[in-house]
Amino acid sequence: MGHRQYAALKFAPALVVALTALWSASALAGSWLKPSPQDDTVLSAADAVQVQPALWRNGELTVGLDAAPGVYLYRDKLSVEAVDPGPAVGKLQLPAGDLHEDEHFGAVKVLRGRVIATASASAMPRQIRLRYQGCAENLVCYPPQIRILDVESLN
Amino acid sequence: MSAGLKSLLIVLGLGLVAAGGGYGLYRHLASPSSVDEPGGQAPEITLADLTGEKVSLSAFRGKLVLVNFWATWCTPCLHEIPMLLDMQARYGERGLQVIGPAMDTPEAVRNGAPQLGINYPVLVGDAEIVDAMQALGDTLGALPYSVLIDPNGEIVVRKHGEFKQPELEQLIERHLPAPSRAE
Repeated sequence: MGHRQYAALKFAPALVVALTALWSASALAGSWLKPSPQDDTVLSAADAVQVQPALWRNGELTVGLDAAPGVYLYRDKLSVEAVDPGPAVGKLQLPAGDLHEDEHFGAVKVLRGRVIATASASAMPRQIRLRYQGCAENLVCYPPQIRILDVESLN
Repeated sequence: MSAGLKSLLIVLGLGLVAAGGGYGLYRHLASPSSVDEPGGQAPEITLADLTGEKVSLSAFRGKLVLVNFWATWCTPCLHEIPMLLDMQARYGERGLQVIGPAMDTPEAVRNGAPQLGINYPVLVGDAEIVDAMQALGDTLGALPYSVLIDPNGEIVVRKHGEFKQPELEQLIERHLPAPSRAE
């Protein structure tokens, strides 16, 4: 075994440990950096709910939304439709959600964290219109949001 | 110290510096819900009231004006309103004027406002309210959003989220017009 190969092998464990530690640190930093209203910081509407790309595969449309910690989305305010006339988008399938007791509106179903919404679409729509609305717990509420998303095919 | 350990410490150090720097930047850029005292002259804002009559901010010059943006679908806004009614009742004679622009349809506000017993002017609109919020310094698009404007038309406080009662009382007491000017 040559000197260089020996040196590479010698430092390999240290490198693996270092990269693992860096990956863990970045994951930890990511969770710190992720905007959170739990410390009374008010997030912008865009930071409170981050929308993932819309994907279409084998007749199914998928959209992901990431609600920041402490932020909830009203389940019945989430909808998706094709922008252009063409392939119809079926009924949206959503997680069951939690029951949230609202001081003024009573019991409402809300969604928290990562929300994956799916709907059948026999053909891929070019763009979709996503509507949603939510609040940061006991802090602020956001007006109804409308996003136009390009749809990417995974086929 | 071995070269491997040195490399490990350097990589970890860089990671921590990057994480710390990013966190510091985030804290710097994020808007706290605590009171922001921005200064600067309030721009002219004109919005329709529930009868369609136009109401301008400049009509209240000489008073301490609390512009409270709200909506009938906003629970924290509805929670805050009774305190604002109390402030208007207690400080109105001393020169406080609360104004409530609502991001709503006139019908929704007409149906909701009587139950709330609002005793100050309610203005209404959709895109106009968003424009007014932005003109008064909003960058987050979140409700409630309040702006306190002193009798000289200077913005003295901006806040997203509800006021706590002692906090608002203190601000009002500090910025009310001088008694001679209020009379």
